[in-house]
Amino acid sequence: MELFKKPAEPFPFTEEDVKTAAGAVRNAMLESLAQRSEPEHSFSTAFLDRMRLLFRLDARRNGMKQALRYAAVLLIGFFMAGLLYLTVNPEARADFFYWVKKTYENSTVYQFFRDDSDNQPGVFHEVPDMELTWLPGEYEVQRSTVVGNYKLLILTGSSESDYIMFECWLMDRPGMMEIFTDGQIHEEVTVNGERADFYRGSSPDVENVLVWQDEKASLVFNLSSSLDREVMIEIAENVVYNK
Amino acid sequence: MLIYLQMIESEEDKSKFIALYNRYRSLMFSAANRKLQNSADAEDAVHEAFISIIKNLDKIKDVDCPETRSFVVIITENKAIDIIRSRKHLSDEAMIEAISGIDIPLPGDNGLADAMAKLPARYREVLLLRYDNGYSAKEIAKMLDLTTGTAQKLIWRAKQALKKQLEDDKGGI
Repeated sequence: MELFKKPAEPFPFTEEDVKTAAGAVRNAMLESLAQRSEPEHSFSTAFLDRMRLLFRLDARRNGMKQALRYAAVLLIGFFMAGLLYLTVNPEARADFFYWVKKTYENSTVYQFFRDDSDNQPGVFHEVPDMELTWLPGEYEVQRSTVVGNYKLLILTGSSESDYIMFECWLMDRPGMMEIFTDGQIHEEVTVNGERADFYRGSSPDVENVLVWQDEKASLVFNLSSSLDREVMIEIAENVVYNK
Repeated sequence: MLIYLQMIESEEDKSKFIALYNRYRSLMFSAANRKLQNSADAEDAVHEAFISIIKNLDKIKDVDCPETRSFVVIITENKAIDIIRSRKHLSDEAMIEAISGIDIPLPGDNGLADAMAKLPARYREVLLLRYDNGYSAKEIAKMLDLTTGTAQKLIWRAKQALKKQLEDDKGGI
C-alpha cells in the first residue's frame, strides 16, 4: 500500500533560469514586432470614439472616491468608467437607456448605453430622493450620502454582520460597472417585473448582491447584504422615489 | 464580492495613460492584427487591452521601457485570443490553453528560451508576466480576468509545459 504520494518531479531549471529565458523571449518578441515594416494603421472613427470615451474622465470621480473610502471598509466599492464597445441587443436599443452584461470568469461587467439621438431628456438630472419603505426589522441608518450622481445608504441591524448597503447611480451618460465575484452563484430574478441579477454569497461570510435597473429613470441599483434572496427582492421592490 | 472602482485616479495616471496610448497603440494594433488578420477585430482587441491597462496602471512604473512594451503586447495578445475564443465558442480550458500566440523568432539559445518561445500563448504570457515583468499570481489574475487560484494553476502548468517542450527539443536534436 502506498502511504505517501510520490513527490512531483522537480523542474530541470531554476527560477533564475526561467527569468533569464523570459527576458530573451521578450527581446525576441519586441525585436520581431519592431522589424516588421507596416504602413501606419489609420484607426477607424469607431475606435477613436471609444478611446475618447475612455479619456473622458468623469468630473464626479473625486466625490465618488470619498464615498468609496467608506464603502471599502465593508469591502465594497463601485466604479463607473468609459464605454466598452459591444454588440448591443437590438431589442434593448429600443429603450432610451439600456444595458448589456458580459460575464468573465471572476467578474461581471455591466455596460450602460444611452440613446441620445432624439435629444430626449432623462427623467432625472440628479439622483432623486428615495426611501427604503420596507425593511425586515429594525435598522439604523449609519450613513446616507449623495455624491454627484451616486447615492449610498448603509443600515445596520442588531449585529455587526446584519447590515444593508444600498447604492444607486443615475446613469446620465454611458458607463460601465464591474462586479468582481468570488465564487458567488448568479441567479436571474425579477424586481418589479424587470430582469435583475442576484449573486448568492458562497459562504455566510460573503454577502449576497442584488443588481437591478429602472431603465425609464436611468437608475441602477445595488443592494448588498447577508439577507435572503426573497427578502432582498422585497426591499428592492419597495424602494420609493418620485418618478 | 467586491465591486471595484475602475477609473483613472489622478492627473499623473491620466498623463501616463495618454502617453501609453500615443506610444503603443500602433504596436498593439500590429500585434493584434498579426494574430487576428482583421483590422476591425484587431481594433477591438486594442480597445479591450487599453481597458485592462487602465485597471493596471499602477503596475506600470515607466511608460518607455522594454518591460512596459512587453506588457502591453502580452495584454493585447491575450485580448486577441479572447476574441478568437469567443468566435469559436471555445470553453474547453485545454483547447484555450493550446492556442498559439503571435509568431516570434526563436531567441536562439537552443535551450529554455527557445522552448518558452514555442509555448502556446496562454503559457508564454503568464511566464513572461511572472518571470520577466515580475508580477505575482494575484496581479496576473487581475490583468487576465482570472481568479488567483486559476492564475497559480496556469503558471504551474506553463512550467510543466516548458519542461516538456525542453525535453522534446532535446530529444529532437
